[in-house]
Amino acid sequence: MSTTPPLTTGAEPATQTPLGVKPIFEVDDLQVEFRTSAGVAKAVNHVGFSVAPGECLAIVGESGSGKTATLLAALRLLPTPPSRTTGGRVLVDGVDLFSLSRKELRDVLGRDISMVFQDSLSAFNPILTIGRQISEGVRRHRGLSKKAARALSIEMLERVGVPDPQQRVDQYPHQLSGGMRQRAMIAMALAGEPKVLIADEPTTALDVTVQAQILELVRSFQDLSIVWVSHDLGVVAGLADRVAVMYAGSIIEQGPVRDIFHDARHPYTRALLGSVPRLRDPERGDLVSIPGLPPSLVDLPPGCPFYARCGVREDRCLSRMPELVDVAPRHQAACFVAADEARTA
Amino acid sequence: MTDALLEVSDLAVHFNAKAGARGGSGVVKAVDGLDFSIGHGETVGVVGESGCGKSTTGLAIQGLVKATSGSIMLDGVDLTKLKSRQVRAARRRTQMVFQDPTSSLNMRMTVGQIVAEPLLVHETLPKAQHRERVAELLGLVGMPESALDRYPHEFSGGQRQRIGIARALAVEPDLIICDEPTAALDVSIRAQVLNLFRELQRKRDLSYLFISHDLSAVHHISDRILVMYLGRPMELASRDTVYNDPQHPYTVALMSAVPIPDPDVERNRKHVLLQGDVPSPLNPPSGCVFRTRCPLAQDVCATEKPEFRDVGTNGEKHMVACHFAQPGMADLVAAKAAQ
Amino acid sequence: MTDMERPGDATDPTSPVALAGPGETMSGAPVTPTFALSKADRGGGGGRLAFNIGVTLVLLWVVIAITIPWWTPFDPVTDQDLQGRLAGPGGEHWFGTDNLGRDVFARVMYGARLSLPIALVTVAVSVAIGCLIGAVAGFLGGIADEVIMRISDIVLSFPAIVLALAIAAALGPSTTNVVISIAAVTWPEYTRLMRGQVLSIRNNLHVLAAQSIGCSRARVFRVHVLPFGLQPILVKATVDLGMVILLAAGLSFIGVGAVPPTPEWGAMVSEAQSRIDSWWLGLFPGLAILSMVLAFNFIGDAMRDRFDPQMRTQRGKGGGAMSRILRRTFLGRAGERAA
Repeated sequence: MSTTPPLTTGAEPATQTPLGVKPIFEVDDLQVEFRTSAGVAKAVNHVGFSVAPGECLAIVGESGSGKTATLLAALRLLPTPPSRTTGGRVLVDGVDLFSLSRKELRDVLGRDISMVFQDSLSAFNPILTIGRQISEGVRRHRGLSKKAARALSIEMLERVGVPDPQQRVDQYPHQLSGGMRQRAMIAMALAGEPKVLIADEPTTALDVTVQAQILELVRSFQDLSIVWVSHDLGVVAGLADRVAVMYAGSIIEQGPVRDIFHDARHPYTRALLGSVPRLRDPERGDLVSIPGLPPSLVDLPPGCPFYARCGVREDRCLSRMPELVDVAPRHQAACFVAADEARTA
Repeated sequence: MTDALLEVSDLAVHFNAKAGARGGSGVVKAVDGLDFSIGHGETVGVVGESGCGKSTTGLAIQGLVKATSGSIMLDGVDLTKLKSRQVRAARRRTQMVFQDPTSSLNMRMTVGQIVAEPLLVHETLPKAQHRERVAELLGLVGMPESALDRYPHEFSGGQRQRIGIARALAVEPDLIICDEPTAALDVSIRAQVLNLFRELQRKRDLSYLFISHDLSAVHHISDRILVMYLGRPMELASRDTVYNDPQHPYTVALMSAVPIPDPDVERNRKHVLLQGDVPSPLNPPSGCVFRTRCPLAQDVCATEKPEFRDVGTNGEKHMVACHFAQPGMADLVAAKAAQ
Repeated sequence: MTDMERPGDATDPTSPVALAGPGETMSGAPVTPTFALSKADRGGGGGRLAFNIGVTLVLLWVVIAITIPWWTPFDPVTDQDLQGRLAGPGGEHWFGTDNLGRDVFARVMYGARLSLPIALVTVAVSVAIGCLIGAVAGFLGGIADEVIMRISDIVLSFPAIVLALAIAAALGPSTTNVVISIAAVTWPEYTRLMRGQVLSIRNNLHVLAAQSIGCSRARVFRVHVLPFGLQPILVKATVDLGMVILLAAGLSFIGVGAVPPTPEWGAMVSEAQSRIDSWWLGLFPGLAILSMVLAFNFIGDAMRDRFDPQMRTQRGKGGGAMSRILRRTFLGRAGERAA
């Protein structure tokens, strides 16, 4: 292989971000399956979204809604088998990740796009120092010397608010507290100066006061494009510019954060918001609870996956999965009823 | 408060810690100087971060860890003074619901056997009536009778938690200690379980000790809320007082850290950020344990342990352990933190 | 037992297997699809074949042991034909005759009547003693645990065959003493296994839940701890059936086991040593031993693959299942320990 294929595919972005800016990260029609003992589970079904430079997109959903699988599959980090990406396209700054060789992919991951995980203890290698692990990526991506990489590691740790970075850089992951480790992981992710940061529930395992610190830190990254996966609607409300709600492997609603929280159109999003107890509520009536359970991904119904639990369901919802359609400016929902309401309004 | 169902006074649970991963050994005061009570039909929520001793408190009341000192009075009987056989009998009055419904159920027993086990152990009912009683209990928690002969793994997380609740109800306890009962559940399922707890309370006049790190859930379900930090009580008051007029700086910070699912509110309110992490329980700060992270800390906080005292007005009991407890603490802390 | 509460431990971690289980997490998704990787997903087809071969072989030997008197005209001990001694295989004597003119086929087949019961009884004794002691050590802990484990360390520090040989020699050659001596050297392995099981199960949440209901210690142990420890014991016992047959043959080979003229495979191989020309004397009992050891190993390994996902993943590293079985078969315990 003497000719290296061009990194840019020259493909036209399939969707423009609402502002007309070229998206920095784009997922288009992604489909992922898992082979399981019970059959093939369709974990991600025709998922598409895009993130503009400097934008924070939150992907919200309950366990099993496919939010983590979507992102891991997009970065080709899912083990195959049991998983299989059966379709779709993922563009990072115009580069199609699915067309890259393994080696080219490794160059892109960590340099253009990096990821932060929920469990900071198992995401770090326990037998290498924090500094060594931060250095590893930057030495590879930016060709820094050992010394320069160490200096950069210390600088990064300082930037994410780890006290005594000179000492911390030589410590092992277990010597740091949970909050500190999560900061170190963010430092590692940012060391390669990525354009996009993918964060998979990075504060779920932390105490609320520490979570508040981390959120404050992430809010300070003004120019970074962030995809933030969470099930905590409160965190999303404080962080995201736009929100995508996933259910049973599909995005069922997406839009600007205020629209989603104040003007949700999909019955699932509405119920989800109603099921959260709020500190503000002076009266405590019963919470909205969604009856029943999400459908089995192995045996998805042909129609809307929320049909069985939906309060406004109609017969037509059984026949086919409703597409995401505009229900308001920049705001889409995958619901026949919501689409009708939007049309008549 | 003589009409209290449960009265915990000066409770301490200390552990001898072996040298752990973070080094050091000595006595861990998992719970120290804890005072609170639970009335009949009342729900007391316990909140705090990891290591604050809230789970240990629950285990101590249930007799699963030994209280080092202090007393736990249940209807006038001191549970800490009972012999082990009596402790087991006393467990009938209080039952627990655990965080992880998957691992807290014996996966080799059928749902019927699981729910009937307390009946079997306490011999409250002839064996022949167990099945009928279990079916009734399952109905009470919204499970079909057909679940009786199936195994826990055939059910979802939320359903398993219902099974756990049915088991706790089997011997008609007066108090249910809920240890993070919704932490492992998804938002929509959590709402189902919280609603169930409240419905059961209405039907059965149950008291709950509701232990959780999830402040919104605790606030939703509790009548009074106890805030703990590093094993010590910080504040205890009615849910509205704790939310609207907390007098302990830690409560203020904790409330401020809870994200509110409303972008307009969440983005415009002032967050009080605490510095650093919770100190190691092996080596807690002297004086007030919160002083190392407290924006209001003064010299006196290092030398003098603040008393857990009543600062309540117009008859409401409002306990706070802070030298500087005062109304309007929230604004004071926010102003201090902004400096 | 300080507080280890962490918010939301159960929400999807990053591990691929956990990811593979979107429906299996706490969500309350229907559990019908089990997303855990099934045996078939891991390409465990070879394991099933081995299992079938093993079961077939063992059943064949059991049938032979029971029915042999009806279908061989020769008695293994009394039917001596000094004229026709050391005749090669063929004709009337399928496996030839030995130096006293006894039918080797009959002797090999009758050998199963000795080896199978020896193996069963020995393993049963060893499992019973080992598990009981191990469970006590694990459940009680403290000094009892220390003493028991040090004793078992001492026993384990000797090569099994050497220690068994010494005991058998001291007790004198007899079938009963073979059982005693082998059981005496194999129990500590069950003790260790059982203790480890109990120690890990003891910390399961369902055990705490059982205590919280008010179960007595005995009930907790019997119902909520013990059944969970038995699976790996069963696997090990199956593999050990083959191992004991090999050990017993080894003792008889050396001369401290079954007494001539008892048709014992090890003793027969031993006799064959001095008559290398008459290859059939050693080959057929040798094959009998091999088939038996392999058969139990096949079954045990298939069971382990089914029960224990950890061993399953190790297979990828340490060569194939076949090579592991063969290594153990030919190198015995030493080979297993070394590996």
